[in-house]
Parts: sequence; structure tokens; C-alpha cells
Amino acid sequence: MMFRMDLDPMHQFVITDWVKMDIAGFDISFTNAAFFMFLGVALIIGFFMIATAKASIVPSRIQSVAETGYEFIANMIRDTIGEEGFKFFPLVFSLFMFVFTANMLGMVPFFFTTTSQVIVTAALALLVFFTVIIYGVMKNGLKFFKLFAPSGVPWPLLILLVPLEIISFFVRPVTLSLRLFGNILAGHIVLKLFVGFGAAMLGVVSAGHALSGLEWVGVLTFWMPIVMAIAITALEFLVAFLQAYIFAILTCIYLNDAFHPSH
Amino acid sequence: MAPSSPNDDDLSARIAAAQARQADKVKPRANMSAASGYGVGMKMVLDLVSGAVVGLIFGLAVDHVLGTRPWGLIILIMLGMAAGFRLMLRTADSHAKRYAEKSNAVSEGSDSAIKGQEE
Repeated sequence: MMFRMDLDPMHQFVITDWVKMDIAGFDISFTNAAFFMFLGVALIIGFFMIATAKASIVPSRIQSVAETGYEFIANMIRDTIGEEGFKFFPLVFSLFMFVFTANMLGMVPFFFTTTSQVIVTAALALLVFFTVIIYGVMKNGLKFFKLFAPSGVPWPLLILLVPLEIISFFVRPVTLSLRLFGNILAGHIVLKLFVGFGAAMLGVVSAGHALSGLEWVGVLTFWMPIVMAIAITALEFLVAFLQAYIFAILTCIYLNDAFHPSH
Repeated sequence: MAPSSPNDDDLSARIAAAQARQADKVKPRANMSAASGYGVGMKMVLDLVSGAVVGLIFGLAVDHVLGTRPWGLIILIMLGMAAGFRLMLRTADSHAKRYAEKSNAVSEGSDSAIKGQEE
């Protein structure tokens, strides 16, 4: 049986070079992934420039959307870190907007989903990880490493617990990146599989020969996986928002450790 | 001047009242979304798996640097699994605590109909 590339569920994740470039042997070609990242950033900047251009006390519709987004992240930081955490508002807000926009752009047919690449999510997670370490050491000095020694534990137990705590700390960027990557990747594969299944069922017609009984069943029920795909599309919009929210709130929780290392 | 000050008092009182109302409305929603069963399950699976993965990476790195193959890998992968388990149990703990708080809050409330549904 022939495997058709347009029905291949993994083909949507292939990175293609649009403009070939390299500097000192490093491949820095402008790819489809790079384009959609730039597109996402441009959309965010454009949106907030329009929304805040004519700032008024009684907000226009677009301004109130922007304010809702601000309040959403501001409340998140207030609840998890406290007022002092507002130093990191720009970081959390940028991460949330970038992930959210990238996920939403991925829902547009034929668009590339940048958050389905583990390197993108890993880069974002490592940014958070190193921010926590660097700011934690800057603010608390060596007290930051109390994070690895739970208080009120007798010292023989600490010999066992400290390595566990250190490994737990390094688990964070892994879970943070894999959760976003896995959810988006799985969602897009399932979506493509269902649509591809429906297309393959209908595609028998184009083969040009008389249809057998089983092929008739396929042709007449091709809409079933399509209906399923529509339902999954709705779910994926929810996942797109939810994963951006989870990424932002986990960033806040991890940043909280930089502010209050002893738990 | 004279008429503005009672207005100001009125306004700040209204702002305080509105904020109190808003706080009541926002709090339970934030708790609910964080504690969705699917999310907690996903988090626990990820904790478990990535603990072992980080142990594996650390083990391979230690063996590569110190040349202690295979002891670093064996010890660190076991430590990694233990750390993953600890993280998972911690997630389960915090979830159970949050659930207990939520059902306490409901049973202490005056609305007995909700209590009946919960049990």
C-alpha cells in the first residue's frame, strides 16, 4: 500500500529552510519555524500597540482585552509570589503571550506550530530555569541553596534527601518543556490522523475501479472521523490556552523559590 | 469642595465592596482550574518519567566525566526514580490537601444543597 505524504500525520512538523544562511559554519537558515515565531511576536506587538494607542479611562473593546490579559497575569503573580514578584511581570507576561499566540497560530490550517518543537519549549523552560538560579543566588546569596535542604530534618536523612532535592530541581525544566511540547504535538497528530482517515476513506473513489462492498462502507461513512476532528479542534483550542496558562503559572511557582528559598 | 468629600467616601466604599465581591468570585475558580483531575494525572506521570530521565542523563554525564561506568548510571538513575516518586507523592499530597480544603469550605457553608451533592 502506498503511503501518501499529504496524509502523513508527522509531515506537518517538518522544518524547511526558506532562506539559506550560515555564519562561521553554523546553520542559521530562516526556516518556517522562525517565520511563525516572528509572526507570533509581530502579532503580539501589533495588538498591544493598537490596544494601548488611545488609552482611555473607559476602555475601548480592544483596550479592555489587553487589560484583561494584564490583570490575568498580574493576579497570577500576586497569588503565587506576592507584590515583590512584579519585578518579573514582563518575563511571565511575555512567556504567556508568546506561548499562547504560538499555540493559537498553530490552530490555523496549514500554519506551522512552533510550540510543537521540543527545542523551542526547552529553550523557554531553560530561560526560566536559569533566571531562577541566577536571581536566586543574586538575591539570597548562598542561602538560596537552602532550597535543597528541607528544614527540620535530622542530618543523617539530609545525606539522602539533598541529592533527591537537587535532582527534583533539575526535573523542573524537563517537565516544563515536555508538558507543553507533548500536549501540542499529540493534539496536532490526533487532529491530522482523524482528518487524514476521513480523506483516505473518501479517496478510494479516485482510484477509478468499481468499489467493493467494504469500500462503499468507507465512502458512505467518511464524515464520521471528520465530525470527531471538529470536536477535537474545539478541545485543542482549550488546550492551547490551558498549556499557556500552565506554563505561566509554573514559571511563577518556580520564580517563587528564587524569592523564598526555604520551604 | 463640600459636596465632593461624601461622594469620595461613597466611591471608595463602593470600590472596596466591589473588590470584596470580585475576590469571592475569583478565588474558587482559580482553585478549580488548578485541580482538574486530568491535569493532576498528567503532572504525576511527567514527574515520574522525567525524574528517571534526569537521573539517566546525570548518570551518563558522571560516567563520562569520571570514567566510573556503570556505577554512576546505576546510582543516579535510582536516585532519579526516587526523586520522581517524591515529586509525584508531593503532587498527590497537595492535591489531597486542596480537595480536603474545598470540601471543608463547602460543608461549612450555609448552602446544604451543595453539600448533599458533594457527598
